[in-house]
Amino acid sequence: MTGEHELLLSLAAVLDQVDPVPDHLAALSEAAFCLRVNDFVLLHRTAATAGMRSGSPALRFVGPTTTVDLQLHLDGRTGLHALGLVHPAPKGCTAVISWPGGERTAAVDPIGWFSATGLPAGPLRVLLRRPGSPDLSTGWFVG
Amino acid sequence: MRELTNTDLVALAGAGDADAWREIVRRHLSLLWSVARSLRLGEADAADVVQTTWLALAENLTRIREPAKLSAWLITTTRHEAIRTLKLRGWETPVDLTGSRADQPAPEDVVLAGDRATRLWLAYAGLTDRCRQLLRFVAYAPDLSYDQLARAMGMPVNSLGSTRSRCLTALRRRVGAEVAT
Repeated sequence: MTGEHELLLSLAAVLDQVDPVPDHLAALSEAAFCLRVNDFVLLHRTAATAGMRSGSPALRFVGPTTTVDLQLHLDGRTGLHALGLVHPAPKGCTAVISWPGGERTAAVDPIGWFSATGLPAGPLRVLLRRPGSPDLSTGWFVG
Repeated sequence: MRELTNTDLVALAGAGDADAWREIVRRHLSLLWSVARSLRLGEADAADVVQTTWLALAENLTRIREPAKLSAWLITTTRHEAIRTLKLRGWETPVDLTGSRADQPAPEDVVLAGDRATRLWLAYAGLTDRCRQLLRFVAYAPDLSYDQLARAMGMPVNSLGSTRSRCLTALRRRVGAEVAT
């Protein structure tokens, strides 16, 4: 076990036994390709901001003209709860919260708030559907 | 597919080629799993983070400015998402005072086939956190540049070469010690 290459190959084999990639993750990784949506304007995520109401960290997604703040918290009874604020408030906009295998649609109120409950923990994405304009996407993040 | 470069694969996958996508996953999955696990995420959160990275890549195949740096993009995305997930869960990266780690079992709890593998595992498990992390990345992705490795480690690139050599030397020495005991 003197050669560096051989040593590293042996180490990879050992790590594969000790902490293997879960089988289901390999399948989910391949399946991600089928879930892509291409026709949207991507909002850029910035560092966690101050909370919108409770002071807990929120995610902020910023685009050329629109910002989305999103706060997530886990409710033991109903799962993950998302509270979002779109500003400036758009007219007639809906938020589609997606995860691999499902989605939930929430109306955005005139002030810009939207909320959804019962979301699964794991990858999430929010698409804002705006009449007459391209969708805005937060991109995928872990909720 | 195996002879194609990452740049080729990104272009093909961006045009809808599922085989190219599968090859990208095959090349990088163990590495990304290592990045997430080395930040002390448990299995479920690490799997969520890695899945999220793939979902993000699938939607950014035509937006990546430097496809040749695909590995670096994947590493950086996974690392950032893992750190954000730790914060979301209200955790900071714990200090390894007790030897209890979410990302690997206790050394004595691992049963491996063969003395050689067991010696190597015990030697590796006895290294510092930083050496374990670095050698895990190098083992799964020996072709990573120092710049890419530095991104994965979250450490300055200028000290990487000496750290890599020191960690490999320490591993070899410990493997030798395991033989002697």
